[in-house]
Amino acid sequence: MPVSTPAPEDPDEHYLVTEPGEYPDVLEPLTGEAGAGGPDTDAGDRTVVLAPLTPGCWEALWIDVLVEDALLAGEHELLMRLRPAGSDGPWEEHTLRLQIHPHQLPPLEIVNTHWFHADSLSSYYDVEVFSERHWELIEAFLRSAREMDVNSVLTPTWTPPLDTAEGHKRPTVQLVGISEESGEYRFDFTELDRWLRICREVGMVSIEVAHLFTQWGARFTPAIQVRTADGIEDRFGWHVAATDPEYRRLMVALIPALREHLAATWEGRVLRHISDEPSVQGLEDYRAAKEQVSDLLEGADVVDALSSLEFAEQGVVDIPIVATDHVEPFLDAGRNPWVYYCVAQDREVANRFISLPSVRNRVLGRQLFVHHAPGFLHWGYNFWWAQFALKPIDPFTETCAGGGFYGGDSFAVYPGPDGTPWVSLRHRVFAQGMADHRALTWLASLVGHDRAAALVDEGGALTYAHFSYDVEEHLRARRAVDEAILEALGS
Amino acid sequence: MQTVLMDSLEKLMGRAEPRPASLIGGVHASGFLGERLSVQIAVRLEAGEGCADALADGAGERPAPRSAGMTAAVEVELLGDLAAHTTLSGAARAGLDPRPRGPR
Repeated sequence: MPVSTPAPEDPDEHYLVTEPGEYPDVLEPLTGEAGAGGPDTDAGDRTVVLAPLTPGCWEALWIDVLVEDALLAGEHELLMRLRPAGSDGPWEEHTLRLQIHPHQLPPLEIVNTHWFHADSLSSYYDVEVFSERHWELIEAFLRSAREMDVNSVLTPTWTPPLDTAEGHKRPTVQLVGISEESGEYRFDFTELDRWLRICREVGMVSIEVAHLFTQWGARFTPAIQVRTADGIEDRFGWHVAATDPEYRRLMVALIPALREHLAATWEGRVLRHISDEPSVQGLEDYRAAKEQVSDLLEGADVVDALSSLEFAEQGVVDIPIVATDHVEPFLDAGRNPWVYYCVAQDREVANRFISLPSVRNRVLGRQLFVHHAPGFLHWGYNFWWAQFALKPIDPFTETCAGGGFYGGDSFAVYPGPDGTPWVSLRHRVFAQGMADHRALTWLASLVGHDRAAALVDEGGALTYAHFSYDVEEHLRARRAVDEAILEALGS
Repeated sequence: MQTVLMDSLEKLMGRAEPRPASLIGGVHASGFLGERLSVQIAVRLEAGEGCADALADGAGERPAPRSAGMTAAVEVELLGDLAAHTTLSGAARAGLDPRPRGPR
């Protein structure tokens, strides 16, 4: 894929590439003739695929094997034969040796959220928001997120005030119908219920209510529409201050009603946000905004990005989510916080940029486990916009949000034809990291956290900023974890 | 044509040569039921191989975008009792525009 901005100007030595170029990322599904049978095989045991390639350079075919049937547990050989299309010459052969253990991993125990942008789907595929087609796309892409072990969904109760230039507006995606009659707010949760039903069906166990205030300072209100006798009104947004009494009036009505509705209809966890990435300079604004709603959020889980231990200890943010390159002081203080990374975490720590080695993506699983992180947050599962949402982009030709982010930062999935999610190589590898976490958590339940951690903590040297780049070490460690599980189970 | 079996953590970037996968515990990949096991096959087709219909533009150290269509191809056969549980994807370097292949 084309990557115009692969790396920071002062990259660390582990970046695979630092120059603009075309690099592998999207996994283009190759459909074959399954069950074709053959001269020496049973029907169902042979698949033939034609894979397009560019001559003159090395390119990869990605092979996934997914076995659910317990009867197929055990060791297998998969023979792969390749030859240039149209050739009747000899095949090149590889025998892939696989082992499927006769158990299933337990679900991921921590929260794993990669913010889902419903307006990316409606914009890219040019469909009306919350039309039947939009709902189909939402379901398809939420399912693809589950394949990455995403288990929490940013829910557009109202248009999330994220990555939006001041004064600019993203397409309205507001699940909660808000109207005003006789001076009183009324709410319609029909669309929200449909969203929740899909979340439940695809296996999500947590939702995040959209942020209550704008990003980078919490000084304004989100773009919220209200239906009145005169029609739809853009009542809130950049033109209304966070502390405006009218917004307080809406919150007093909306938050309790939403809490009551979710308590009655959603069995999973509900996370709430005040404002994303409050800066140290903007903390007073954050406090003021929070004050607008703090009494209404009593007892709720409120999480927000905050990387200053000093401010975290003042309780500015109830549950701080700490950038992976600022987490050491928290760990030293005996705290094991949620963590996040975004474009700013571009030196030494894990990330999923296209230009980074895959091991730097996968390592997050062991890091989260060893450091007891309760959750991980990334801001862009499918942000198909230029930075600040100034214009939509085509991810197949623009992987850097118009140059604002390093390639791959803003999305992990591509909009395939016919609304089919095409996942990225990074999507698959991130899922491997979460599988590592699930295996480690399982082993910890059997033999204790310390013994499990000892298999992956690199002799105690593992931190968020220091880890092994030895691919084989990672694969061997995971194998050791699996064997320890099987031994503990007596298998 | 050259081919190399790689593990899933390799990335073919720049001029790097593919690194062969290791056998770990006697297997290339292992995991649990319901866990997706992944490997990669690196393939290098030379100019003139693979039914190319536009090879001249694609040959060289930097591939041309494939948006005009497939420039060459490799035929892959999977044989064994897990063949029906296996999916293949292309991890091309070159730009890719899927839209001509079907409506959105």
